[in-house]
Amino acid sequence: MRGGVNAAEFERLVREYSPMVRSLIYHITRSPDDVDDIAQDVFLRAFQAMPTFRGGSFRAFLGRIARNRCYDLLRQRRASSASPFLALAADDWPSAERSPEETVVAREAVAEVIRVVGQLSQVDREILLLRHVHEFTYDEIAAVLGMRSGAVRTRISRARQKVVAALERGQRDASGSSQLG
Amino acid sequence: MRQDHLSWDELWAAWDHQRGGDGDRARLHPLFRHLEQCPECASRYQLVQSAHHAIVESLGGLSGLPQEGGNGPGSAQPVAARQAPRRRRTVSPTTWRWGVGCAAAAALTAAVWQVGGLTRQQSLSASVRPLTAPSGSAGTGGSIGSRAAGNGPLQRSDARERQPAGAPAAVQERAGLFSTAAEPPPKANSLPASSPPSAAGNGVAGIASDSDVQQQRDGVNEKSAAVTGLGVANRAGQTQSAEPGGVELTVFGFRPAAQLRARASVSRAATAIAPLEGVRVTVVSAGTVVWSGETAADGSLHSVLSSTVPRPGTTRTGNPSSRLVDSTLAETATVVFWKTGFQPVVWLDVPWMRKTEGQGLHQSVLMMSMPDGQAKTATWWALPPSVPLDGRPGQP
Repeated sequence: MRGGVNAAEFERLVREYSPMVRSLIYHITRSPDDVDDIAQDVFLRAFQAMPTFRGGSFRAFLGRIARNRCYDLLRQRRASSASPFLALAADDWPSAERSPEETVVAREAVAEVIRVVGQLSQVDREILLLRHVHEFTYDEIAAVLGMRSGAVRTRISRARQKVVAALERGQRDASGSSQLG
Repeated sequence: MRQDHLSWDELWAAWDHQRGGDGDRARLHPLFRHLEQCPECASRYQLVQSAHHAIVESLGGLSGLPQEGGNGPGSAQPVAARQAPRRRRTVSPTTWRWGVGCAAAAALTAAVWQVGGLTRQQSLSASVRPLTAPSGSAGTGGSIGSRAAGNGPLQRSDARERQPAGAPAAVQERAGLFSTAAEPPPKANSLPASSPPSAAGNGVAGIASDSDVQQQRDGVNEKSAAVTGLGVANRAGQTQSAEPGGVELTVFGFRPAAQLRARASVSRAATAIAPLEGVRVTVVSAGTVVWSGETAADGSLHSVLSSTVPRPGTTRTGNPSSRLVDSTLAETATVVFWKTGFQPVVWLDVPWMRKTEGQGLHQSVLMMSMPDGQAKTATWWALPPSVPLDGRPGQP
């Protein structure tokens, strides 16, 4: 994609990338009230900036705009302290095809992962979000964050290790408690 | 086969590849062979997969955020939950069962959240219904909608145009604290001869109504009213009949930043994503047009208050607000009509509202005239904290 885009084409792009943009905004601002405001602003800016789009990954282009808009907003006001992770209950983790013990272990483990992910830096969470949820390539993430691809790989590797360690810890704790029980 | 165990990075690379991500297949092939033959690495690989799903669970959810359109491309579900990854069955059946379970987890969780969201939405709707009941304080009475599924960006510009004064009497009518009503376009606000193409030409047809969502937003933003100490009466009657080419106009009042936002819904069936031009927006306060503008081809809406227009609030409330508005008369707003996933919105930043907020009572009317002649008005009252929201304006 390069240069201008007609309305119908852009509409398709909005449909396709809106979830990603909203998700990214939400996880940066942590403010549900701001998501739609910023998302619309992002798409408006993207629409206006399409003639200057030099090609490459459009979703990275959008992600970069969204990220910049979010941090502009956060600079203007203090970020909400509400954590998006709090609302995620480990109880929502289903027990499909698992024994009750396995379910307990999984819940404990996921709860531990949620806690660890919540403790990661904002940038690391963005990287994990883009990589694991939205399946960005490393190069795309680098474009969004303004980093080198190698730096992204390093950061995601460390973040993943923390998550794996948390998962192991959670499983171990849950197994221990279930055995005691 | 490799004799040593795979590193975590290799395991993650294998998983990324298995999910359909990037990675050199030729380089990864030996890793998968190793995984098939090394129980320890297979176990760690399973941990990697679990970690991935846990990350998706942690970050992929948008709890507290209005979802866009179910589980399809417009949904906020993670990509992994919507798309079947390209699979290479190189792991044990147990691992696959785990993966399938996790995929089911995402779907179930989404369902739980959606059900929970509906329940909460109904609860919030109920909580804002007694809007007209005496509250004794603004914080408990007024509701402010701001959590729209699309609120337009505010854009400032130096572009100015003078607008005719004199508001149609119809727009000054008031039905309760908030009303929306279809009005014929007044002459003062009629389109010029060189008016832009009709609404039909712009692909506007019908009206989208999501009053439930609006009620939820109103409820959510009661907090905002409480924070600002400003009671703003609005909502009720947002749902309008679906005249082709019409608009549904909703003023959601003030946010903490005291920006007036009017959400004007056009049909979701509209085909034009481009900004709709030729939409006239007029704000009337105390019987006087204090702001008016018409959208340009790019959707921008620029206007300027006439310096000869009496300052709002000076006659009705006795508040010496005139001194507050001298410095800033220029107003801009952007009207952007999006079709996809967004509610069109008019976002006005009215300095005199911001500067006089909480000091007195205003009756203000916002009117939007569509190019095809349809018009809607919305009336709202800005109340100081001491004025009960009893459905009638009164002196503070």
